[in-house]
Amino acid sequence: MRGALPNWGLTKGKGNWFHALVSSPASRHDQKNYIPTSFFDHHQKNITYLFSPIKSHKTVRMKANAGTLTNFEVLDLLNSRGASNDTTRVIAPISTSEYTRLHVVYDYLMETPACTQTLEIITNFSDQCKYFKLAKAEILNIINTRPSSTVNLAPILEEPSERGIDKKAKEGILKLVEALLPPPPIVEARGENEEEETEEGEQS
Amino acid sequence: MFCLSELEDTVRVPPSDLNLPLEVAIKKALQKLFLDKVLSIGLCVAIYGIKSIEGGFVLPGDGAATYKVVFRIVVFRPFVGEVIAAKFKESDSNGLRLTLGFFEDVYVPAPLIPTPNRCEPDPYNRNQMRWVWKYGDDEFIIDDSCQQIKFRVENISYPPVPTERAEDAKPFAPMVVTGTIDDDGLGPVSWWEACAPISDDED
Repeated sequence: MRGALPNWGLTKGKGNWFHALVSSPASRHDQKNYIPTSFFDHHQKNITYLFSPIKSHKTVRMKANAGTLTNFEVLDLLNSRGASNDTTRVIAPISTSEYTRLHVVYDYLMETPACTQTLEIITNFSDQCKYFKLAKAEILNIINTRPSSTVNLAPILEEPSERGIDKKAKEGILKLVEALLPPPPIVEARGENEEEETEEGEQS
Repeated sequence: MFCLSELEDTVRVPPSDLNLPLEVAIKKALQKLFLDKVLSIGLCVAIYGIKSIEGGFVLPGDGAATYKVVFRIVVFRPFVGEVIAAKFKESDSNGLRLTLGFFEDVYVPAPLIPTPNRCEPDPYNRNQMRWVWKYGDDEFIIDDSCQQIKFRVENISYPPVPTERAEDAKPFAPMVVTGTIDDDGLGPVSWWEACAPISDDED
């Protein structure tokens, strides 16, 4: 039983999210005039007034969804904060809590296919995906998990037969994945090598 | 699984930080407030950037400066239907518990484990139960040896803070993700490594 996929809406205007990312280098993530990297265009009206669970605050006004990020974009952000540089593990210019949290997330993301992706790759891939008429959430899923076979693709597609995605289309999607997205890193057995893996060997 | 969220909040910069550049001081105060905390929108992972700062008033009786800040944070909030790879953490008679490293409250309750299955006491670890999936003649074990377990998000819930708790209850989890592994391609990755589709008409 699956819940309905959220209503992502169409990307409005020419302001493609990747153009925004390309126009400012990763090191300037903190600039105030940075355009949001909205993978899915957000609805401007979603401002809700909520009680924050933080004790010292009474109300925090917020816009809940200002854009969804692929794993790669978050990894890129962490890299720009210096998470990959091992020497910063010892000399931490930032507070301990942010440090630990960033590193834990970083370590998790380095084991996903996101660590071998680049901006051009995912832009290219999502452009090509429109031939298959996939929902944006499905494209996000595919970029994050990089399915390598039909069985890996199965839990991502919702009601494929009703949407006219037959076996041929699935093979087409897989070929696109194989061609455009680099293979994920080889995850070592736990307890062994914990450093980042360079890409060795292809996916069989 | 990550989203950007824009928030507006009043931030108090303690007097000891007032010698730092403004953005650095505010960022420090924001990190202390939001990082690692679960808001109604999800688990806050990182401060993305500050959009605007106003104010800077010093309220009477207080040495700190108070600013009204609009900023963006990266929150961990998976959407329903997202497929995520996690690691096994523990299992008991109610189901499995998986971890993502930075987030450890992913539960797969017993009804969402593929059937037919059975739960047996773990021979290697006396306190734990082990789930085994029986498919045809083969039995597949779900335990510590699985490198990666893929699950699909079914639901995210934010249980309210309990007022009273039993002594030995598990630490309170403000955000719980419920997942399922009962579908093709889900569950331990090793289950699907060498397999072929059974029939040509897939649903």
